[in-house]
Amino acid sequence: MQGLLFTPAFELKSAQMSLMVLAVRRFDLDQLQIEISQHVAKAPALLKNAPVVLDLGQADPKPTAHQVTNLLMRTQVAGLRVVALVADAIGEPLAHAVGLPALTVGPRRKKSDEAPAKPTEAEAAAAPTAPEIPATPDANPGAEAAPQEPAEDAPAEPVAVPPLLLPGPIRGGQQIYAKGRDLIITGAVSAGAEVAADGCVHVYGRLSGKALAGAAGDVRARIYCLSFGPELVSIAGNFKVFESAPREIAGKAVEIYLNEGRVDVRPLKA
Amino acid sequence: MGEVIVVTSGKGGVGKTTTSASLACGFARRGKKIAVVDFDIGLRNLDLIMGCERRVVYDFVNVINGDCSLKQALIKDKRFDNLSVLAASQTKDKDALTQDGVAKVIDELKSEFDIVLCDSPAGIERGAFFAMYFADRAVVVVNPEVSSVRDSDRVLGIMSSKSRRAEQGQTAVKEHLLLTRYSPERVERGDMMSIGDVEEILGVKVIGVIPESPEVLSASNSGVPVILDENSDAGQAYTDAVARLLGDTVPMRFLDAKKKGFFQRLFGS
Ligand SMILES: Nc1ncnc2c1ncn2[C@@H]1O[C@H](COP(=O)(O)OP(=O)(O)OP(=O)(O)O)[C@@H](O)[C@H]1O
Ligand SMILES: [Mg+2]
Repeated sequence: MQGLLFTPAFELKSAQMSLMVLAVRRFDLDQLQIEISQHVAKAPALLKNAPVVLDLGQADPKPTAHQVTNLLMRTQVAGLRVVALVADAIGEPLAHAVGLPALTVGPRRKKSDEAPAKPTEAEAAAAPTAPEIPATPDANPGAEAAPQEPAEDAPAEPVAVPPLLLPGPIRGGQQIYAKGRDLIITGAVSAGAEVAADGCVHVYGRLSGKALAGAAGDVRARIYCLSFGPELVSIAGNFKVFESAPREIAGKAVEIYLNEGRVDVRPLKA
Repeated sequence: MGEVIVVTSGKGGVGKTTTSASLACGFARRGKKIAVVDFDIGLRNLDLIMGCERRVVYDFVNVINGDCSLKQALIKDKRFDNLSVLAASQTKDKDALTQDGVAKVIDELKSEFDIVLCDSPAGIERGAFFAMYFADRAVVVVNPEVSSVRDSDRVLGIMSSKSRRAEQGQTAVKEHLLLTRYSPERVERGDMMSIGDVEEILGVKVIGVIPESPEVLSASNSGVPVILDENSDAGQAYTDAVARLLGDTVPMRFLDAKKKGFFQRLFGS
């Protein structure tokens, strides 16, 4: 009886989650809407309605609150959900003005039980309006087991999360998402197929489709493939589209990584 | 129990029905008891190419609906009495195909015939899905061009994840590629993909290459599958493909431009 009466209706827990940051460079509403829709169209499974944090720190020109409200609407139309603004000198007052929370983007922050924090990751700790989960693409049914939840609060022992291992080929029209872990494909990824992981993506074969690593925002995630020829690669939401692979790397074994916010491709030495 | 082989492609007009008719006659000529089933509900043209369109009384949908028995609907070929055709219906809707209905017909055919050959419609919708769902083997017909190869890739993906074999955790559907409308001249000129290109992209071996050949159209128009035209390249290539499907080792033919012989090629012309 007592238990029932005094069980609190809620619990306030601290949680960490990674979110993608939409960093605006040129504040041109029409252009932003077009480009965002194009991005979302490239990887709808991963991006459609994904929560993002809006970073206006570098926006040029500086928008007014009215323009930001307009951008929020257009972003939603284009397929992304702005859930907060980055709390810097520019974002903080604008966040208040448009009625969204302002989040402090984690700078390099060391925790004894954790690898260095991801620089562009938005810390959503104790922000009640922040969504619980990052964007969750439709996984290929049956290809994915129950998601691995990171241990709450307690500084857990580092445990290796086994990768999602699939034989190839992954063919056009198929989508694979390895939530909270690496993805290993022992075979080719065809044009029109999409393979994504919160960790790294390894393709032991030809990569002709789309590959997305760090899908939940981990900028350290990388993509490896034996033969390079993708339609698109993405690391932590940073895209690079290829109409055709550059000659120096076409058909080569490569590593794809994020280099100061830009997607870079380099051949793997034999 | 007989084996179910689907002839499929994704893309339309690549030569599935032409292939189904020729493989059916080829298997029959090799002594197999075979039924060929037209899944292209609403269009019906396998019976035309087989030359039995005037003898269609009942069709696939009639059998599913219980209007007649399977026996009544099967049309015996005039050339091979071990070959039967189950025609599609011109008047009915694709929705007439139900999973249970198709399963019943396929299972009954399997108990009667060595091979049940399913001629799939184009696309990846209902008819195409049911045509491949029950397959043990697939002959994926592909033209050496990008759009056809892409669609075949898609179909192979669906087959590997959604076929009955995949759902029941049995060994995968055995996949074969049949390259049709192949023109060695155009491959040499570089405006058509080569066999190697197609095999590499799809990761499946080519079981036969059918050259582009004018005899195909005249064969279709006269209701005599081209495999029965022993003078045509396409007919001979289909005969080879049937042999390979039955496990024989037969060298590839008709891959070179202008039909030069070996010595001619060695010493120039
Ligand atoms: N090897 C070939 N050489 C020349 N023409 C061919 C060849 N194979 C098929 N054709 C022609 O291509 C056309 C389409 O062939 P067919 O009807 O067999 O294709 P299909 O894949 O069954 O088409 P659909 O997707 O509409 O069912 C026909 O006109 C046929 O005569
Ligand atoms: Mg057809």
